[in-house]
Amino acid sequence: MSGGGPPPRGRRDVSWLAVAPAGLLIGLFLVLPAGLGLIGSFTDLGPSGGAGHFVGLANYRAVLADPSLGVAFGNAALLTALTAPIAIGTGLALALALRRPFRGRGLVRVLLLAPWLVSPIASGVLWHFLYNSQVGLLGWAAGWSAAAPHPLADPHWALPAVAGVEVWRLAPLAGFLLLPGVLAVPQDDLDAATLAGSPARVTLLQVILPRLRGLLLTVLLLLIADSLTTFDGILVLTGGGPGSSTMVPALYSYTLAVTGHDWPQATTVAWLLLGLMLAVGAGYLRLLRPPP
Amino acid sequence: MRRRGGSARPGGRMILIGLALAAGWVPLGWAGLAALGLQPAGGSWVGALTLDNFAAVTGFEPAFGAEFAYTLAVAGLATLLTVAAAFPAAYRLAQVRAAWPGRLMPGLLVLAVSPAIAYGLPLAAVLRGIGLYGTFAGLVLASTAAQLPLALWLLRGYLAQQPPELAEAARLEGAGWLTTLLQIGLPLAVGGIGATAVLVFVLDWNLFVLPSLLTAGPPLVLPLALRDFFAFERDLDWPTAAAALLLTLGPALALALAAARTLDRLVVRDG
Repeated sequence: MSGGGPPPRGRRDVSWLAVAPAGLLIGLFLVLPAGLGLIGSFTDLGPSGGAGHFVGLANYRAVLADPSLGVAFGNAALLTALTAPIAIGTGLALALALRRPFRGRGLVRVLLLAPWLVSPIASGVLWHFLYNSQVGLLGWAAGWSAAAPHPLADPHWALPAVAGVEVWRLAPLAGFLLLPGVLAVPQDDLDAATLAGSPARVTLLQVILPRLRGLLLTVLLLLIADSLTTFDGILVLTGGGPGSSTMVPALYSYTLAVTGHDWPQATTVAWLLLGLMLAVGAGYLRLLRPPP
Repeated sequence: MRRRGGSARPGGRMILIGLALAAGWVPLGWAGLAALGLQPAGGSWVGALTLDNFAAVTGFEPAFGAEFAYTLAVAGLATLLTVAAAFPAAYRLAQVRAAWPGRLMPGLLVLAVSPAIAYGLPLAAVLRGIGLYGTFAGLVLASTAAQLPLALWLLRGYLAQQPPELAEAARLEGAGWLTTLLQIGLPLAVGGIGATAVLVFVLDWNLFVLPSLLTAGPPLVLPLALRDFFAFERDLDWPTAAAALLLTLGPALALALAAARTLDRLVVRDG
């Protein structure tokens, strides 16, 4: 953490200029617009500029009065609850399986990452057809049966089907990010546990997982954020349907903005979602602090 | 470790890896077969091996080639700018002895995963204000900034693990901070910079929400084009769609495979 260190006192420390480009870009193109969005959610500012009158909580009252927004938040929570634990569990199992070196491990690691390299839009197109009974894997596997399933058209199965695609895309990322942490667990500790005759499950729980705590929390944050806030895949897979069975807040906001041209309400919904995300982030920061 | 791909039984973990590879690649292989003109029907195959479906993509979307090049330019330039801005900042932050950067970094990560929809609309207004809305430069700058928190976080984690002695010695020799940065810091960080650049490029290449809010008309980036292609061509058949989506996967996959060794040097810090 010490590095070159600050120069001697008395001279002006120009080295902080190194932070300036990143700071400017983040400030101008991320933080400023996010702040403007928050302010905008209390006004009636539209895409054409408009007067931008302060309207208090009117936008919040309007969007919260729509019961389908509540449904959307419920769907996002369910989607996250289905996706994140399965993705991180699978990712951890993969990282553990890759711990011991073998010939071609680097290549296998990248090949395993392939589903994450597919854009959410492209994976939406891919799985739209794969779930299809005519040309898809599912229809082919169902074979002769006349009632080949079509989960995306079924209000009960659409959300789990979307979660399946999310797990397909995110579990490889979780494994990829967890592997360096798994590799950093000292072999001596594992050997000691083996010599002490502790069962594999105990080694996992008492030696490996405690060392991975911070990294697991970080990867979990990434997974939760992805399933809570990305909607490109859903846009292509179901468009939020059937009915509103796969509608999520981000897609709700996007639709309001792009199709409904209702910027104040779109931004308001987006800020409700961002608020939820910030709450998750605050929980992450709190949990990250080492226990006393 | 005996259960769940434990190390004691190499067979078990190889089976797990094999299953995971199959889960990832069977869907892509299915698309690959369809794109090449082969579709399974019951126990046999229908169709003949052909490249026509790849050609058909430009039939549905005449601008596909131009969109491909445009996306490559946006994602490539944005990646370079992100890394160029993130490295000096991460290097400087990694030298701070105080505790505050350690608290700033998880905050940056939270910023990195915030939904684009929450700042995309006002960002469109900001870009309009400086005359960059709907332009190549505007999209590049927005993409650059969007990936900066993640790149900063990854790079600082990488740099914080390096021994500080070399930079210290260079400073005692009288080297300025810029010299130290370029001649000591940069060569040591090439692996971390490369791995970060690969991840950032993949994220940039696949961006959808930001471009869709910041683009006024053609040229479109590929995810936007693929969405339109899919949404408006109702008679789009599976082999053409498969060919199109595999073409959009190409650069990201090729880069990741080419950089497999570099990606192995990625360090993901806890917090």
